[in-house]
Amino acid sequence: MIFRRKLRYVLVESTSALNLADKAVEHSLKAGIRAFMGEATYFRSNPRVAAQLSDNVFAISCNRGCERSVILALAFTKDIGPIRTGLFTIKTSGTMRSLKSHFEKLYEKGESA
Amino acid sequence: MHYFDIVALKDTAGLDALAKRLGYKKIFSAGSDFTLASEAKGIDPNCKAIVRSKNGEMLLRAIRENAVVGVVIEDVKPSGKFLEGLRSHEKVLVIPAAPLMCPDLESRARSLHRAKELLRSAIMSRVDVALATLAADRACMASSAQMLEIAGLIGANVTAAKAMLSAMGRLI
Repeated sequence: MIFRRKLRYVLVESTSALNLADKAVEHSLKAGIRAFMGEATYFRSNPRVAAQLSDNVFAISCNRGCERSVILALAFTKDIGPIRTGLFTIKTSGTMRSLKSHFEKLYEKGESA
Repeated sequence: MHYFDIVALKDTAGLDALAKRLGYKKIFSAGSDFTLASEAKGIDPNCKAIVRSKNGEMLLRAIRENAVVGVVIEDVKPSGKFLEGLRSHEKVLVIPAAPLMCPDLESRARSLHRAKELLRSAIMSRVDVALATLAADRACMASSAQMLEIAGLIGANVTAAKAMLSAMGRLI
């Protein structure tokens, strides 16, 4: 049997600029989420950085049905390595295309993040 | 349903645009939209005020003032008399979410437990409850979706969570 992964994408805004291409920063973000969720819920939701859309806006993918746990964990994640930041979830969607279109609507029409 | 948040930020630049992004109709700021006081004395009767204190007796006096729309009770268990006073004067008990997300001295689990007990007492006494960040730092703010999840974490059902996030809109 082939299992097809159904994903949900969460658009996240950070109060500080984060370079998630840097593996150390990405690892710290995942560690912060895991510290709040616990190993079992982290494994079940499988959160990953899906795309960095600007300096302080990025998308996180997770398994469908687990997005609420990810949203809650992001609210409680305040330290990413040495960076003190707040992570705000802006929108949850089933496709990256919809998320990117929402991002363009919100941030690229004169409203700076 | 529209959601509202209240904050105690020093720098309120760009707050309206941020409110739109975070899913709020408006984020009320202490100092401009309402007064955040530590005691009931000296509050302008023409403005709206929220009183934050650890002193239960003082808060009991504060809820008799017309200018006071809500109270924040800190670090103490509310007495039955205090909750009865809140209900009879139709004031709102504000639960701040910033200490849950950015705990200072006590652990996060303890802060969450305290908030859960406070919410339980308030709901049992049929007191109006509002959940707001009351953040002094932008990092301690949260989006409306996150606040709904936090309300669920401390024991509110979906209907109660939505009511808690919209409560401040009709008062300020």
